[in-house]
Amino acid sequence: MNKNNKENNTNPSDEELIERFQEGDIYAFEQLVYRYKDRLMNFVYNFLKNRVEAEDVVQETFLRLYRNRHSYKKIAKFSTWFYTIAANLAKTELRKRKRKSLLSISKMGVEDKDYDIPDLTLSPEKKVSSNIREKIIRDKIEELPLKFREVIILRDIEQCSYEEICDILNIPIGTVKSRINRGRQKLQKELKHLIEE
Amino acid sequence: MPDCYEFRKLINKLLDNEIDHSEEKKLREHIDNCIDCKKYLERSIKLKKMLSQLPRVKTSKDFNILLRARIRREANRERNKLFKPFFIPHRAVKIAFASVVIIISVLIINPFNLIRKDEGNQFTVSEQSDNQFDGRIQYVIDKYPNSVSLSRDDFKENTVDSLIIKNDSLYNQRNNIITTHVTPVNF
Repeated sequence: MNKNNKENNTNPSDEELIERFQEGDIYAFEQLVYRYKDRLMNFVYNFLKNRVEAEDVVQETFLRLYRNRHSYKKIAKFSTWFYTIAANLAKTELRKRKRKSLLSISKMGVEDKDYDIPDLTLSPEKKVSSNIREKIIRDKIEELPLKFREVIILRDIEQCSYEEICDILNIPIGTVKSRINRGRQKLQKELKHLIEE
Repeated sequence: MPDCYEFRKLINKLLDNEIDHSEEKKLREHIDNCIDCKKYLERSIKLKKMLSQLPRVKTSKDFNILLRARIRREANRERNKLFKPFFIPHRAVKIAFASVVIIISVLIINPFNLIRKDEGNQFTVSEQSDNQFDGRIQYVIDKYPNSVSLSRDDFKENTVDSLIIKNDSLYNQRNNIITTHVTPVNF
Protein backbone atom coordinates (compact mmCIF):
# COMPACT_ATOMS: atom_id res chain seq x y z
CA MET A 1 0.00 0.00 0.00
CA ASN A 2 1.49 3.34 -0.95
CA LYS A 3 1.53 6.49 1.16
CA ASN A 4 -1.40 8.09 -0.65
CA ASN A 5 -3.64 5.11 -0.05
CA LYS A 6 -2.68 5.11 3.60
CA GLU A 7 -3.56 8.77 3.86
CA ASN A 8 -6.86 8.16 2.10
CA ASN A 9 -7.74 5.45 4.58
CA THR A 10 -6.96 7.56 7.61
CA ASN A 11 -8.46 10.74 6.19
CA PRO A 12 -11.12 9.80 3.63
CA SER A 13 -12.64 12.51 1.46
CA ASP A 14 -16.24 13.62 2.03
CA GLU A 15 -17.21 11.85 -1.17
CA GLU A 16 -15.67 8.59 0.05
CA LEU A 17 -17.51 8.94 3.35
CA ILE A 18 -20.91 9.50 1.76
CA GLU A 19 -20.29 6.55 -0.55
CA ARG A 20 -19.50 4.37 2.45
CA PHE A 21 -22.59 5.68 4.22
CA GLN A 22 -24.70 4.85 1.15
CA GLU A 23 -23.39 1.30 1.52
CA GLY A 24 -24.63 1.20 5.12
CA ASP A 25 -21.56 2.33 7.10
CA ILE A 26 -22.98 4.39 9.99
CA TYR A 27 -19.50 5.28 11.22
CA ALA A 28 -18.99 7.19 7.94
CA PHE A 29 -22.15 9.21 8.73
CA GLU A 30 -20.79 10.01 12.18
CA GLN A 31 -17.56 11.25 10.63
CA LEU A 32 -19.54 13.56 8.33
CA VAL A 33 -21.42 14.86 11.37
CA TYR A 34 -18.11 15.53 13.11
CA ARG A 35 -16.72 17.34 10.05
CA TYR A 36 -19.72 19.47 9.21
CA LYS A 37 -21.72 20.21 12.35
CA ASP A 38 -19.84 23.37 13.35
CA ARG A 39 -19.30 24.58 9.78
CA LEU A 40 -23.01 24.33 9.09
CA MET A 41 -23.88 25.84 12.45
CA ASN A 42 -21.84 28.95 11.72
CA PHE A 43 -23.27 29.15 8.21
CA VAL A 44 -26.90 28.79 9.28
CA TYR A 45 -26.47 31.04 12.32
CA ASN A 46 -25.42 33.86 10.02
CA PHE A 47 -28.76 33.52 8.26
CA LEU A 48 -30.99 33.16 11.28
CA LYS A 49 -29.06 34.90 14.05
CA ASN A 50 -30.81 32.64 16.52
CA ARG A 51 -28.81 29.86 18.07
CA VAL A 52 -31.71 27.50 18.88
CA GLU A 53 -33.26 27.80 15.45
CA ALA A 54 -29.88 27.47 13.76
CA GLU A 55 -29.07 24.28 15.64
CA ASP A 56 -32.49 22.91 14.77
CA VAL A 57 -31.89 23.61 11.08
CA VAL A 58 -28.46 21.93 11.25
CA GLN A 59 -30.03 18.87 12.88
CA GLU A 60 -32.70 18.82 10.18
CA THR A 61 -29.95 19.04 7.54
CA PHE A 62 -28.23 15.96 8.96
CA LEU A 63 -31.56 14.19 9.23
CA ARG A 64 -32.17 14.91 5.53
CA LEU A 65 -28.72 13.52 4.77
CA TYR A 66 -29.56 10.39 6.77
CA ARG A 67 -32.94 9.98 5.11
CA ASN A 68 -31.92 10.90 1.55
CA ARG A 69 -28.38 9.54 1.50
CA HIS A 70 -29.04 7.88 -1.86
CA SER A 71 -30.05 11.17 -3.51
CA TYR A 72 -26.43 12.27 -3.52
CA LYS A 73 -24.80 11.49 -6.86
CA LYS A 74 -21.05 11.45 -7.26
CA ILE A 75 -21.14 14.15 -9.95
CA ALA A 76 -21.54 16.91 -7.33
CA LYS A 77 -19.08 17.94 -4.66
CA PHE A 78 -20.47 16.73 -1.34
CA SER A 79 -19.89 20.01 0.51
CA THR A 80 -21.77 21.98 -2.17
CA TRP A 81 -24.68 19.54 -2.14
CA PHE A 82 -24.82 19.61 1.63
CA TYR A 83 -24.58 23.40 1.93
CA THR A 84 -27.43 23.66 -0.60
CA ILE A 85 -29.67 21.59 1.68
CA ALA A 86 -28.72 23.72 4.69
CA ALA A 87 -29.20 27.00 2.79
CA ASN A 88 -32.64 25.93 1.57
CA LEU A 89 -33.72 24.90 5.05
CA ALA A 90 -32.42 28.16 6.52
CA LYS A 91 -34.31 30.16 3.89
CA THR A 92 -37.47 28.15 4.55
CA GLU A 93 -37.06 28.96 8.24
CA LEU A 94 -36.71 32.65 7.39
CA ARG A 95 -39.86 32.53 5.28
CA LYS A 96 -41.73 30.77 8.10
CA ARG A 97 -40.51 33.42 10.49
CA LYS A 98 -41.74 36.16 8.19
CA ARG A 99 -45.10 34.46 7.66
CA LYS A 100 -45.73 34.00 11.33
CA SER A 101 -44.73 37.64 11.89
CA LEU A 102 -42.93 36.67 15.01
CA LEU A 103 -42.89 39.78 17.08
CA SER A 104 -40.55 38.54 19.73
CA ILE A 105 -37.90 36.51 18.08
CA SER A 106 -35.62 35.42 20.83
CA LYS A 107 -32.54 36.92 19.34
CA MET A 108 -29.29 35.64 20.67
CA GLY A 109 -27.76 38.73 22.15
CA VAL A 110 -24.06 39.18 22.47
CA GLU A 111 -24.49 39.14 26.24
CA ASP A 112 -25.90 35.63 26.50
CA LYS A 113 -24.08 33.89 23.69
CA ASP A 114 -21.99 30.88 24.59
CA TYR A 115 -19.83 30.43 21.53
CA ASP A 116 -16.11 30.79 21.55
CA ILE A 117 -14.53 34.16 21.94
CA PRO A 118 -11.51 34.26 19.65
CA ASP A 119 -9.04 36.09 21.82
CA LEU A 120 -9.22 35.21 25.48
CA THR A 121 -6.34 37.52 26.30
CA LEU A 122 -8.50 40.60 25.66
CA SER A 123 -9.11 42.84 28.66
CA PRO A 124 -12.75 43.04 29.87
CA GLU A 125 -13.13 46.50 28.30
CA LYS A 126 -11.76 45.34 24.98
CA LYS A 127 -13.88 42.19 25.16
CA VAL A 128 -17.03 44.25 25.60
CA SER A 129 -15.97 46.51 22.80
CA SER A 130 -15.19 43.51 20.58
CA ASN A 131 -18.58 41.96 21.40
CA ILE A 132 -20.38 45.18 20.58
CA ARG A 133 -18.55 45.44 17.25
CA GLU A 134 -19.45 41.85 16.49
CA LYS A 135 -23.10 42.47 17.28
CA ILE A 136 -23.18 45.53 15.05
CA ILE A 137 -21.61 43.60 12.16
CA ARG A 138 -24.02 40.71 12.54
CA ASP A 139 -26.99 43.08 12.78
CA LYS A 140 -25.93 44.85 9.60
CA ILE A 141 -25.47 41.54 7.78
CA GLU A 142 -28.97 40.57 8.91
CA GLU A 143 -30.38 43.82 7.60
CA LEU A 144 -29.07 43.14 4.08
CA PRO A 145 -31.67 41.87 1.60
CA LEU A 146 -31.53 38.05 1.48
CA LYS A 147 -30.05 37.93 -2.04
CA PHE A 148 -27.03 39.95 -0.88
CA ARG A 149 -26.82 38.41 2.55
CA GLU A 150 -26.53 34.85 1.24
CA VAL A 151 -23.64 35.63 -1.12
CA ILE A 152 -21.79 37.65 1.54
CA ILE A 153 -22.14 34.82 4.06
CA LEU A 154 -20.96 32.24 1.55
CA ARG A 155 -18.09 34.28 0.12
CA ASP A 156 -16.75 36.41 2.97
CA ILE A 157 -17.61 34.27 5.99
CA GLU A 158 -17.63 30.72 4.66
CA GLN A 159 -14.91 31.43 2.06
CA CYS A 160 -16.74 29.55 -0.71
CA SER A 161 -15.53 29.98 -4.29
CA TYR A 162 -17.70 31.70 -6.93
CA GLU A 163 -18.39 28.32 -8.51
CA GLU A 164 -19.50 26.79 -5.22
CA ILE A 165 -21.82 29.74 -4.60
CA CYS A 166 -23.29 29.27 -8.10
CA ASP A 167 -24.02 25.63 -7.31
CA ILE A 168 -25.36 26.23 -3.82
CA LEU A 169 -27.70 29.08 -4.80
CA ASN A 170 -28.35 27.85 -8.32
CA ILE A 171 -27.68 31.25 -9.90
CA PRO A 172 -25.30 32.23 -12.75
CA ILE A 173 -21.74 33.27 -11.93
CA GLY A 174 -22.34 36.81 -13.27
CA THR A 175 -25.19 37.23 -10.80
CA VAL A 176 -23.00 35.91 -7.98
CA LYS A 177 -20.28 38.45 -8.77
CA SER A 178 -22.61 41.40 -9.09
CA ARG A 179 -24.47 40.49 -5.87
CA ILE A 180 -21.17 40.17 -3.98
CA ASN A 181 -20.14 43.54 -5.38
CA ARG A 182 -23.37 45.25 -4.39
CA GLY A 183 -23.63 43.46 -1.06
CA ARG A 184 -20.16 44.56 -0.05
CA GLN A 185 -20.91 48.14 -1.11
CA LYS A 186 -24.07 48.20 1.00
CA LEU A 187 -22.35 46.65 3.98
CA GLN A 188 -19.42 49.02 3.67
CA LYS A 189 -21.81 51.94 3.69
CA GLU A 190 -23.65 50.60 6.75
CA LEU A 191 -20.48 49.84 8.67
CA LYS A 192 -18.54 52.91 7.59
CA HIS A 193 -18.21 54.27 11.13
CA LEU A 194 -16.91 50.95 12.41
CA ILE A 195 -14.47 50.46 9.55
CA GLU A 196 -13.02 53.92 9.90
CA GLU A 197 -12.56 53.71 13.66
CA MET B 1 -12.26 60.90 -14.11
CA PRO B 2 -12.61 57.35 -15.54
CA ASP B 3 -15.62 55.26 -14.53
CA CYS B 4 -15.04 54.52 -10.83
CA TYR B 5 -17.88 51.93 -10.86
CA GLU B 6 -15.84 49.71 -13.17
CA PHE B 7 -12.80 50.05 -10.92
CA ARG B 8 -14.83 49.09 -7.87
CA LYS B 9 -15.70 45.90 -9.67
CA LEU B 10 -11.97 45.36 -10.13
CA ILE B 11 -11.44 46.00 -6.41
CA ASN B 12 -13.84 43.15 -5.67
CA LYS B 13 -11.94 40.94 -8.07
CA LEU B 14 -8.74 41.89 -6.29
CA LEU B 15 -10.26 40.98 -2.90
CA ASP B 16 -11.26 37.59 -4.27
CA ASN B 17 -7.93 36.93 -6.02
CA GLU B 18 -9.74 36.83 -9.34
CA ILE B 19 -7.97 39.78 -10.93
CA ASP B 20 -5.49 39.28 -13.77
CA HIS B 21 -2.16 41.06 -14.18
CA SER B 22 -3.29 43.72 -16.68
CA GLU B 23 -6.43 44.55 -14.66
CA GLU B 24 -4.37 44.89 -11.51
CA LYS B 25 -1.96 47.26 -13.25
CA LYS B 26 -4.89 49.37 -14.49
CA LEU B 27 -6.43 49.45 -11.02
CA ARG B 28 -3.20 50.52 -9.34
CA GLU B 29 -2.77 53.36 -11.82
CA HIS B 30 -6.33 54.48 -11.16
CA ILE B 31 -6.00 54.31 -7.38
CA ASP B 32 -2.89 56.47 -7.48
CA ASN B 33 -5.04 59.22 -8.98
CA CYS B 34 -8.42 58.63 -7.34
CA ILE B 35 -8.66 59.23 -3.61
CA ASP B 36 -12.27 57.89 -3.41
CA CYS B 37 -11.37 54.55 -4.94
CA LYS B 38 -8.26 54.34 -2.77
CA LYS B 39 -10.44 54.81 0.34
CA TYR B 40 -12.94 52.35 -1.06
CA LEU B 41 -10.18 49.78 -1.45
CA GLU B 42 -8.94 50.34 2.11
CA ARG B 43 -12.44 50.01 3.52
CA SER B 44 -13.10 46.90 1.44
CA ILE B 45 -9.97 45.22 2.76
CA LYS B 46 -10.92 46.11 6.35
CA LEU B 47 -14.49 44.88 5.87
CA LYS B 48 -13.34 41.60 4.39
CA LYS B 49 -10.98 41.10 7.32
CA MET B 50 -13.74 41.93 9.81
CA LEU B 51 -16.12 39.44 8.24
CA SER B 52 -13.56 36.66 8.06
CA GLN B 53 -12.63 37.22 11.71
CA LEU B 54 -16.17 37.01 13.07
CA PRO B 55 -16.20 34.40 15.86
CA ARG B 56 -17.41 31.07 14.58
CA VAL B 57 -20.58 29.78 16.19
CA LYS B 58 -20.44 26.16 17.28
CA THR B 59 -23.08 23.56 17.97
CA SER B 60 -24.01 22.81 21.58
CA LYS B 61 -22.42 19.99 23.55
CA ASP B 62 -25.63 17.97 23.30
CA PHE B 63 -25.80 18.23 19.52
CA ASN B 64 -24.75 14.63 18.81
CA ILE B 65 -27.05 13.15 21.45
CA LEU B 66 -30.00 15.18 20.19
CA LEU B 67 -29.26 14.23 16.59
CA ARG B 68 -29.07 10.54 17.47
CA ALA B 69 -32.39 10.79 19.31
CA ARG B 70 -33.95 12.53 16.33
CA ILE B 71 -32.68 9.88 13.92
CA ARG B 72 -33.98 7.12 16.20
CA ARG B 73 -37.38 8.83 16.36
CA GLU B 74 -37.39 9.11 12.59
CA ALA B 75 -36.52 5.41 12.21
CA ASN B 76 -39.32 4.44 14.61
CA ARG B 77 -41.78 6.61 12.72
CA GLU B 78 -40.79 4.88 9.48
CA ARG B 79 -41.23 1.48 11.14
CA ASN B 80 -44.67 2.46 12.47
CA LYS B 81 -45.69 3.59 9.00
CA LEU B 82 -44.83 0.12 7.68
CA PHE B 83 -47.00 -1.56 10.31
CA LYS B 84 -49.85 0.93 10.13
CA PRO B 85 -52.11 -1.28 7.94
CA PHE B 86 -52.04 -3.87 10.76
CA PHE B 87 -52.72 -1.37 13.48
CA ILE B 88 -56.47 -1.13 14.03
CA PRO B 89 -57.41 1.34 16.76
CA HIS B 90 -61.18 1.05 17.31
CA ARG B 91 -62.76 -1.81 19.20
CA ALA B 92 -65.60 -2.29 16.71
CA VAL B 93 -63.18 -2.43 13.83
CA LYS B 94 -61.04 -4.92 15.78
CA ILE B 95 -64.04 -7.20 16.29
CA ALA B 96 -65.05 -6.95 12.64
CA PHE B 97 -61.48 -7.66 11.55
CA ALA B 98 -61.25 -10.69 13.88
CA SER B 99 -64.60 -12.02 12.58
CA VAL B 100 -63.48 -11.77 8.98
CA VAL B 101 -60.25 -13.59 9.83
CA ILE B 102 -62.19 -16.37 11.60
CA ILE B 103 -64.69 -16.78 8.73
CA ILE B 104 -61.92 -16.94 6.16
CA SER B 105 -60.00 -19.49 8.24
CA VAL B 106 -63.12 -21.69 8.64
CA LEU B 107 -63.84 -21.54 4.93
CA ILE B 108 -60.27 -22.46 4.04
CA ILE B 109 -60.20 -25.58 6.27
CA ASN B 110 -63.87 -26.42 5.74
CA PRO B 111 -64.37 -30.21 5.39
CA PHE B 112 -67.37 -29.75 3.08
CA ASN B 113 -65.15 -27.99 0.63
CA LEU B 114 -67.51 -25.05 0.13
CA ILE B 115 -64.74 -23.04 -1.38
CA ARG B 116 -62.36 -24.84 -3.61
CA LYS B 117 -58.83 -23.59 -3.83
CA ASP B 118 -58.29 -22.19 -7.27
CA GLU B 119 -54.60 -21.55 -6.99
CA GLY B 120 -52.19 -23.95 -8.61
CA ASN B 121 -51.95 -25.26 -12.12
CA GLN B 122 -54.92 -26.93 -13.69
CA PHE B 123 -54.47 -29.72 -16.20
CA THR B 124 -57.14 -31.36 -18.30
CA VAL B 125 -57.07 -35.12 -18.81
CA SER B 126 -57.43 -35.64 -22.50
CA GLU B 127 -55.58 -38.71 -23.57
CA GLN B 128 -55.62 -42.29 -22.41
CA SER B 129 -52.54 -44.45 -22.79
CA ASP B 130 -52.66 -48.07 -23.92
CA ASN B 131 -50.41 -49.27 -21.13
CA GLN B 132 -52.18 -51.29 -18.43
CA PHE B 133 -50.74 -53.05 -15.38
CA ASP B 134 -51.74 -53.95 -11.79
CA GLY B 135 -55.39 -53.13 -12.49
CA ARG B 136 -54.54 -49.43 -12.87
CA ILE B 137 -54.36 -47.40 -16.04
CA GLN B 138 -51.81 -44.81 -16.88
CA TYR B 139 -53.07 -41.56 -18.37
CA VAL B 140 -51.20 -38.88 -20.18
CA ILE B 141 -52.42 -35.51 -18.99
CA ASP B 142 -51.89 -32.35 -21.05
CA LYS B 143 -49.07 -30.16 -19.81
CA TYR B 144 -48.71 -32.20 -16.60
CA PRO B 145 -45.03 -32.99 -16.07
CA ASN B 146 -45.61 -36.74 -15.61
CA SER B 147 -48.13 -39.36 -16.55
CA VAL B 148 -50.43 -40.39 -13.73
CA SER B 149 -51.65 -43.72 -12.53
CA LEU B 150 -55.39 -43.98 -11.78
CA SER B 151 -57.79 -46.80 -10.92
CA ARG B 152 -60.65 -47.69 -13.29
CA ASP B 153 -63.02 -47.02 -10.36
CA ASP B 154 -62.00 -43.37 -10.48
CA PHE B 155 -63.96 -43.06 -13.72
CA LYS B 156 -67.25 -44.71 -12.82
CA GLU B 157 -69.43 -41.86 -13.98
CA ASN B 158 -66.81 -39.55 -15.35
CA THR B 159 -65.51 -39.29 -18.82
CA VAL B 160 -61.82 -38.71 -19.25
CA ASP B 161 -62.42 -35.31 -20.86
CA SER B 162 -64.24 -33.90 -17.85
CA LEU B 163 -61.50 -34.56 -15.32
CA ILE B 164 -59.35 -31.80 -13.92
CA ILE B 165 -56.20 -31.90 -11.82
CA LYS B 166 -55.67 -29.10 -9.33
CA ASN B 167 -52.90 -29.14 -6.77
CA ASP B 168 -52.23 -32.82 -7.33
CA SER B 169 -55.88 -33.80 -6.73
CA LEU B 170 -58.30 -35.09 -9.32
CA TYR B 171 -61.72 -33.41 -9.64
CA ASN B 172 -64.78 -34.10 -11.78
CA GLN B 173 -66.77 -31.44 -13.58
CA ARG B 174 -68.94 -30.78 -10.49
CA ASN B 175 -65.74 -29.98 -8.59
CA ASN B 176 -65.97 -33.08 -6.42
CA ILE B 177 -62.69 -34.70 -5.49
CA ILE B 178 -62.19 -38.11 -7.03
CA THR B 179 -58.79 -38.73 -5.55
CA THR B 180 -56.52 -36.50 -3.50
CA HIS B 181 -53.24 -38.03 -4.52
CA VAL B 182 -52.49 -38.21 -8.17
CA THR B 183 -49.47 -40.42 -8.44
CA PRO B 184 -47.07 -39.52 -11.22
CA VAL B 185 -45.70 -42.49 -13.11
CA ASN B 186 -42.57 -42.54 -15.18
CA PHE B 187 -42.78 -44.57 -18.39
